[in-house]
Amino acid sequence: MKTQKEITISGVGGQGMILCGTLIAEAAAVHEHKKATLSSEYGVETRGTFAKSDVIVSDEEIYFPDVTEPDLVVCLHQVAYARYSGKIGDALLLFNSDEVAPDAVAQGPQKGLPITQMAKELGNPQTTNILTMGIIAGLTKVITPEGAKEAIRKFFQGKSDKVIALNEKAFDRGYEEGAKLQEDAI
Amino acid sequence: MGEFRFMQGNEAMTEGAIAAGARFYAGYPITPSSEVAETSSIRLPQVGGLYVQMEDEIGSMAALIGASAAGKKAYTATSGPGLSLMAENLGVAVMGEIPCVLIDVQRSGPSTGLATKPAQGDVLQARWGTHGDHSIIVLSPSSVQDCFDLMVTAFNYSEKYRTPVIFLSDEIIGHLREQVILKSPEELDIFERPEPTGDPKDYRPYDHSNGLAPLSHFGSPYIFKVNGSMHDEWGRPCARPDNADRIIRHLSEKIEAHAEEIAITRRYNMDDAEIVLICYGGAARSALSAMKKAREEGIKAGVLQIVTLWPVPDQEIREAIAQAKTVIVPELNLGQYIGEVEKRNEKNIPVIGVNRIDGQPIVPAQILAEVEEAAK
Amino acid sequence: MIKDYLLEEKLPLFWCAGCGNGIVLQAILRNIDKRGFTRENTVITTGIGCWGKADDYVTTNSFHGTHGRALPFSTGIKLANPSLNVFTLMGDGDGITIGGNHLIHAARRNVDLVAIMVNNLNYGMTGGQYSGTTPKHAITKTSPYGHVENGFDVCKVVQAAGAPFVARGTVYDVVQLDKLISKAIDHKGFSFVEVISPCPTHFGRSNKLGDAPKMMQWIKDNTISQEKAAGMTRDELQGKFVTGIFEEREQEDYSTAYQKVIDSLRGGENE
Repeated sequence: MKTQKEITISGVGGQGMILCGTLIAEAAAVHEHKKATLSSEYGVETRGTFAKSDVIVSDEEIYFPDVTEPDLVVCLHQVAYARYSGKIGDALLLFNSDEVAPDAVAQGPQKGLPITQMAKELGNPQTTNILTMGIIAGLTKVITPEGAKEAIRKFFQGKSDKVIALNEKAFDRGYEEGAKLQEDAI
Repeated sequence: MGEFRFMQGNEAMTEGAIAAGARFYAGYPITPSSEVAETSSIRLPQVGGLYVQMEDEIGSMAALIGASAAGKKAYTATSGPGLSLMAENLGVAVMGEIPCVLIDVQRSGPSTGLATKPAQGDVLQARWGTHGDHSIIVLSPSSVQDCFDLMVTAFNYSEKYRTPVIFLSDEIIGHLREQVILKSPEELDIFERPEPTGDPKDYRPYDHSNGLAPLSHFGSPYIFKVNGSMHDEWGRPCARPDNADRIIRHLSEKIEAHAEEIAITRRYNMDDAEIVLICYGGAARSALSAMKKAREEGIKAGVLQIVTLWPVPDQEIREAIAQAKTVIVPELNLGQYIGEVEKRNEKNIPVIGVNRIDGQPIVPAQILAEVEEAAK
Repeated sequence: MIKDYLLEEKLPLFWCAGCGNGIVLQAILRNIDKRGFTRENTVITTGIGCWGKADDYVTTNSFHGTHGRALPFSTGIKLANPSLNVFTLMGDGDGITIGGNHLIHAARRNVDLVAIMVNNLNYGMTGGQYSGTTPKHAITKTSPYGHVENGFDVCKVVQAAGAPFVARGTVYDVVQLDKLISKAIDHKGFSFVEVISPCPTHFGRSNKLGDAPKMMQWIKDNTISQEKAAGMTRDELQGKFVTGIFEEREQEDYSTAYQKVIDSLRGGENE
């Protein structure tokens, strides 16, 4: 029985994957008292080239901090999708359907969600990363909404109540979608 | 009680340095070490310390040494290209016996290389980067907790042995985020620089005939001279052959004679291990994962993690070789530390390197394949 | 007593007969003595070269580092302990050639210290090769057919880089030199004094400027006050040493500015 959950959040630089992954891992470590790591890969350019962050949450000590046996791979950009589609076995590939045109015949389970559109509907496209965090939480249950929101509030400390409320709402919206996906899978 | 935090390795180094009493940072930002500079610029003035960004790494190293001579515990952070520039004045710290801590968050080289990708290509440069005979202390962290705890050790060693210490991290550990306990001051042993005693007129900062002479600081009653040129007990220039011989031997022996005291190693499943993975830094985490999987397969694998890379933990490596049938040395370079293992391989057992130099971390499966092969 | 600052057992000075370094060192120590700076609260940092040996002869704290790096060493010393009186002695090799980048940034950073660059127009210690201040057409060991490059006007460089006190003197006019160093010490912030000094052994010999006294005369003949130079053309000023104070203005120094940051974060509380 695998006690470890491995999640990759991928896209291009500037899409907020590191923040998304960090908040998940932080919530798991601080609020769920699990072992958690966040490692990342990026290019020399701050924007535009492939980047990813790997989150591992476990009940045991985590040694190698990169994802080797993913449970979930999230692709927020075509570049990232091209890297993972068909190469992650039985793991679920979740993509942002506003950014990614999926392969006509995809190998392995894949699911698209209009994450950008959902963020826009919330009133701010910048909430994409927190929305993605919610989807991952709802889908994998590696963190609870309570823990996640504490991590979100801590990160946005000093920002206006409006900003915090917006991001909490983004998380909830994502969580709802993620939970639905999980039910579909069962 | 310490404070439980989820933090990046580079950030924990800053916290470790401040906990160790460091109050001065001079540096030049460079990927993948820049978060040390950034967090230092935030944190140091909060504790009454000072951050200064110099025009290059040569000036950074010089300012660091100057600040230490004036009595402040001082540190800097860089990566390969910066280490090459710092090598010049690293020699002044060695020769002048001025404590300071130099963090190198290793990235792929040579030259600008792959700026954002991990490597462990500076292991030998850390040892021999500055010219001339000398010894140096190099510590290698493998977790965010190490970034905090070992940083305190680095400052303690630096002050205790009057030497620069290189904190040889890598991009994997520098950018890794995980849990860390920031220990409270009462949980930490901090070594403070001993002040000279006696008549200031007799103070000789380089007279080590009765153990390491204490280092004063500029502004104290104990006036002193720092000299990058060959000097006598007072720090005054001296070209006498017997004096040069004394100084150069001292610079090496003050560290090598205490190698066992300075050595930090960690043993995992070593009691019955027949296949031993000797590793350090970011690659140690790959080795530990591989070891765990090998054990699940019933293979008697163990890990000897080297934390003090230099001076070499001679005894511990010899013991590991003595019990092993095969030794595997995973490194993110073409085989820099394996030479130290081979030097001690009097039993002539297989010593196998697992090397990766493409800017990617060694995946545990690569090491496991070698372990499985060796177990056949 | 100036003698209190001189390490007599190291005398006589190793500098050649006719070298100006001794004159500059005396002027510095006279000023240190006049102010009553103690040996304990004074640090003299040096670079590498003939002038870089000056620390050998002083009884104050000293730091003899690497070629061209005296200013960053001083920066660390002064920032770590702003109560110290820090003097940075550089030659033209240290100051503007290998250490030119440190010099312009030190001028910009404005750490409160005195920098004294003795300019003898060549690398004396290593045998008379050209430096960043060697004038065009000059003969040196590495410009045997006449130098094809131009030398720096160092004061202009330092002035442009933002130093609040910039001056030039010569070892011929010791009264003026004393005054310039005195003003540099009194000026809070980065204070730079260039001192034109003869190297009869190398620069003088290579360029047939005669013996030590003749070279001193050569400096005198080619020195023009700032006031007089104001009315001269660029061509007329070629090969001349313009002396005087080029910059003297108040500007908040680094330590004062940084202390304000610390105070704002800590509400005046300090360690």
